[in-house]
Amino acid sequence: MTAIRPAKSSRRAVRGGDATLRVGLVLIGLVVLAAVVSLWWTPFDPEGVFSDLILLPPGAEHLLGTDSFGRDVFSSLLRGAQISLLVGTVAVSIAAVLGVPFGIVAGMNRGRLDQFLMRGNDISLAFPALLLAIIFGAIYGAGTVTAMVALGIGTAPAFALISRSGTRQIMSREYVLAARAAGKNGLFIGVRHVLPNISGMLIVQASVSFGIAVLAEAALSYLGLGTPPPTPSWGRMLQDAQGYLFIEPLLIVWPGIAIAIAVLGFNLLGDGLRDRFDPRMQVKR
Amino acid sequence: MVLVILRRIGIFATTGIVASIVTFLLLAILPGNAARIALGVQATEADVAAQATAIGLDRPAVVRYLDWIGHVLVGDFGTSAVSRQPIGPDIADALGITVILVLASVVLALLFAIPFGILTAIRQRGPDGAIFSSISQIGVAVPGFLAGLLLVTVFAVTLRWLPAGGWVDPADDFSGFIEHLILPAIALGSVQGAVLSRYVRSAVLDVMRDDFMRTARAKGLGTARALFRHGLRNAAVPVMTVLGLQIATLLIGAVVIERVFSIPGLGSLLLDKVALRDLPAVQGIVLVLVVFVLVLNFLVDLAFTVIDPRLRSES
Repeated sequence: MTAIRPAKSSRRAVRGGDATLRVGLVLIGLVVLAAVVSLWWTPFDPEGVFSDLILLPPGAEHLLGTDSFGRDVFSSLLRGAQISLLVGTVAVSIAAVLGVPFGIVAGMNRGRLDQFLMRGNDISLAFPALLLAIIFGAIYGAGTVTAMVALGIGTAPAFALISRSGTRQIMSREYVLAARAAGKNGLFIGVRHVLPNISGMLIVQASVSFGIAVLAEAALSYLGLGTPPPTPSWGRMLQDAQGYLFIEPLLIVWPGIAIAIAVLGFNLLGDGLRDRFDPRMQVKR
Repeated sequence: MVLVILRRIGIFATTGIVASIVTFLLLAILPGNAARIALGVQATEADVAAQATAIGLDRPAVVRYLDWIGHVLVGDFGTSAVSRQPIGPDIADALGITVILVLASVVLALLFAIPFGILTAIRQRGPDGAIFSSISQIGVAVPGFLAGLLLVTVFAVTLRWLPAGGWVDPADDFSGFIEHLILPAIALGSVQGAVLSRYVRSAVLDVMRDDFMRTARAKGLGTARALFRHGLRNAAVPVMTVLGLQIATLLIGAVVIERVFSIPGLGSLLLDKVALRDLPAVQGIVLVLVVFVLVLNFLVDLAFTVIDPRLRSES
């Protein structure tokens, strides 16, 4: 951390960011590959019941063994990637579209509008994504669409709060004052100055939110409130596995690793992008 | 400053009232005819109408809301659609358990996140910083309930050091209470701690780039001293924002963890009532969870005002 070797340090930082980015992309690539391949092909049918194949250990034919319904675990894992990616993509898109404009407008307009928007935000904050999904599940019945919409609405406040606090910092910077003095309107300042300067935060938030959505989907399925059977999902695989904890603890490990890979991938991607695109990271000593 | 705090109390009360209205709209109005839900699809129209009158559904929504709030304020939270008993006593018993679990987890999470986050920020360049950073990344990627399942597998099934689930009242058997608290609190707190440590790291990194930190170091303070004298106070503001957000996540995480460990808290109660489609009970439990989040966020807000003098003159 001394000022004597800034060039070396900053090069290393950029390389480190690229490595993070690459690992993230590889992990996400694995999940996407599993989801795409399983659209057309899985080693065995992951949706049937095969009573003569129950709880087989990992072997040559069934790579990761079979579950309590005799289904091939590897096939279920591949197919389960589809639901995780679908729920994550739709939920984060809903959250960003709702939350970011909300937060920027609130951050730029201190006063009544800000107060009003933030109070609305405070209230929705009190209904966390999973709680909303549980409530929606109780009312409308469990399902993929219910889960996606509930998780999207429930994750939006995080985007709004991050955007707002970022915007408030940017609004006191000299270049915004200069733009205002030059008579630029709010939309111009918001799009030209605020959005680019908070985009690093938003990327980190989007990646974390994608991870959260994947986790939340898994939790909902674990509780029996997510995608209904027989469509395979990683969370329900965990629920099934818990009943056989004493007989075959490996059944918990496989879907657990799948969830961890997906979430880790999106977190690393966010971090890598942040390190690469945030110009302040690179000039920093 | 007193005025600012009074204003925040006013905002908190208003938010609480609006949240109760939202809860009422979500669970009493949105689902449609509660009488039909209670009786099932095979009930005749006459039965449904009679049931609606019996449970007061024929009254205007405003009257029903005020009636419900009246029941909430006296503590019975209305009547369960299934057991026909007041819901309040069940909620009170479960709330105490969930509060203990959540507070234990928050303490564990902060004890982990603050030192860990600062360390990974200061050592961002070094190889050990990269290792710490990877550990927190993996921690974030493991859901609390999976951590719980793995902890049970290792410490309850294999090693037999701790119970696999259940709950003991601290007044009955304090060491038993601690034994039953350890695994769920670690499962919940470690994941939240990993999430928080990432924000602590990024807040500290942001602060270290600020002009006042450059000034502090130009004055001759070392990085560590500059950070402790000036930096952490400023880094605390965004971290507190996230902590406020995390509290809601932590509480809902507790709902799932309670299921993993068969702990009779609010989460187990909620999921039991959801399975029974006992919407009046769900409504009461949701209100308690929501108010719980609001109270904790209110406290975080107050802490903000104390930490950051710039926010005191906001009005």
